[in-house]
Amino acid sequence: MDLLYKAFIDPFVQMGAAPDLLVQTLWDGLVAGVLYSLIALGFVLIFKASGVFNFAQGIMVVFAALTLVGLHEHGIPAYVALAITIVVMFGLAVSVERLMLRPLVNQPDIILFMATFGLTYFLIGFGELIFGGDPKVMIASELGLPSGAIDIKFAGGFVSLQKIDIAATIIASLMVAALALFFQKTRIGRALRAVADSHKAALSVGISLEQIWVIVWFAAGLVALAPASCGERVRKCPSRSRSSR
Amino acid sequence: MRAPGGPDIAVGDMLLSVENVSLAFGGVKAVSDVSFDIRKGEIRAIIGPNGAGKTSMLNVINGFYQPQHGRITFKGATRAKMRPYEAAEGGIARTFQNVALFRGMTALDNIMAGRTLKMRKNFVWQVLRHGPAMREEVEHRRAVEAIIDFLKIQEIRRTPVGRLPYGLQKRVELGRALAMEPELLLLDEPMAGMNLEEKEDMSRFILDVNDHFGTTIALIEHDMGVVMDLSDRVVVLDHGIKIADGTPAEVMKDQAVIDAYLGVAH
Repeated sequence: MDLLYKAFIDPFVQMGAAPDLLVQTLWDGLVAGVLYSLIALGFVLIFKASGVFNFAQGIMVVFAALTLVGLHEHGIPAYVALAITIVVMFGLAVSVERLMLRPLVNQPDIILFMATFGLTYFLIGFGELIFGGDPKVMIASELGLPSGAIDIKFAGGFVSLQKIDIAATIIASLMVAALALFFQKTRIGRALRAVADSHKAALSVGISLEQIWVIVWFAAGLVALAPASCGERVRKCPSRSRSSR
Repeated sequence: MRAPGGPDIAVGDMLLSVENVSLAFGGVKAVSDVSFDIRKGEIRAIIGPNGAGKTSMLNVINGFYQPQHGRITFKGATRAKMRPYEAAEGGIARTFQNVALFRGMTALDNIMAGRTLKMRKNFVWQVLRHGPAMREEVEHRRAVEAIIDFLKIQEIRRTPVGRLPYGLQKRVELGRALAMEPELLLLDEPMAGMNLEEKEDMSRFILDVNDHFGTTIALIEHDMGVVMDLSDRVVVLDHGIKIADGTPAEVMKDQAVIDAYLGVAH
C-alpha cells in the first residue's frame, strides 16, 4: 500500500505543493526532448533513405562539435568556423557516399549497418587525430547564442528559463519543420522514400542514389550540428533531473 | 549515326544494337560475345532456359551492369559505359522479374515516381506548393491518371502496393515504367506467376502500349505461346551464348533452340 501511494499518489501531491517546480521540470523536459528529437531526426533521415540504422549518428554530433570548437581554437572566428563546419559535414556526406555506400549498393541492409560501425570508429580516431583529445568547451556565446537566464515569478517561487534553451528550442523546431516540408512536399522527398523501398527500382526510374545519399547524409550532418552547438545542455540534463532542488 | 536528341528515328530503323557484349562475374560468364539489335517500334523477345543470361542482358542494356567487352549503341550514340540514371534519362524504362515496387507507397505514388526525371521545378516552389511547381504537379498527375485509366487500375490508386495481389503489382510496375514515356521498354518476365486471365490482360496491355504509344519493347518470357503471339523477332540465349535470332516461326524450327529447350547434352 505504501509503495502504491509512493508511486501513484505522492508525485501528484508534490506537484500540487510546488507548482513552480512542476513547470520548471516540464520546461526542462521540453528542451531536452527537442534537442534529442534532432538527434533522432538524423537517425530517421538515414533510415528512410537506406533502411539502415546509422550507428554513427551519435559520433557525427561529436564530430560536428569537435570540428566547430577545434577550428575556433585555431583562431578562426566563430561564424567562419561554423561555415567551415557546414562545408566539412558536406564533405563528410560526399565521402561517405563515395567510399562507403557506393561499393555497397544492392547489398543486404545488415552490411550497410555494419559499415556504419566502421564509420563510427573512423570518425572517433580521425577527430582526435586532427583536433586532439583534450576536453573542449563549446563556443556558444561566440556563436551569438544568448547566455544567462530569465526568471519568472510563479506561484510563490520562480521558474528559470535559460536563454540558450529558448534559442535551442526555436532553432530545433525550425529545422524539424523545414526538413518535414522538404521531404514531404518535394520530388526529392518522394525519391527518398523510393530509395528506401527498393534500390534497383529507384535506379530504373532515373533516381540517382548517389545524389539522394549525399542529400540525406548532409541533412543528417546539419541536424547533428544543432545539438552540438547547444550541446552543453544535452550533457547537463541527466545530472540535473537527478538532483533534488 | 545521329547524335542523341537529334531527329526521331523512323519506324523500322535500328533503335538499339548490342555488339559482341561479354559480361562475367569473377570466373562465371553470364553473357559471351552476344550481338543483336532492336528496331524502332518492334516487340523483341529474349528467350532461353534458366541461367541463359537473359536478365543479365537486360541489366547491361539499362546500365545496371557494365559489360567487360563489347559496345552498345542506343539512338545512334555508342557508349562504353552508362549508368542507370543516364539510361533512364535516355528513354529506357524497365520492369523486374520479381516485381520491384516501392512497397510502402500507394499505386499512385509509385507511378508518380516514374515522372521523377520529368519534374524539374525548384524544390523551394514545391515546398510552397506555388505557381509553376503546382502547375507542373497537376500536369504530371494528369499524365499519370491517363496511365491509370489505360491499365484499368483506378480503384487501387490509393492502396499501398505491398497489399496488392501479385498480378496487380505487375500492372502497377508496368504503369511506373510507362510514366517515364520511354522509347525502349524492357520487361523482365511480365507474365511470370500469373494465371491465364492475367496473362491475357498483360498481353493486351503490351500490344496496346506498342500500338498506341509506338513504344519499342524488349521482353523476356518463358511462356512460348505468349512469345509467339506477341513478338516480332526473337533472340535465343543459352548459357550466355546467342544460339538463334529471327522471327518466332524461324526460331521455333531451329535445331539448336530445340536442343537447348529439351536439354540435349553439349
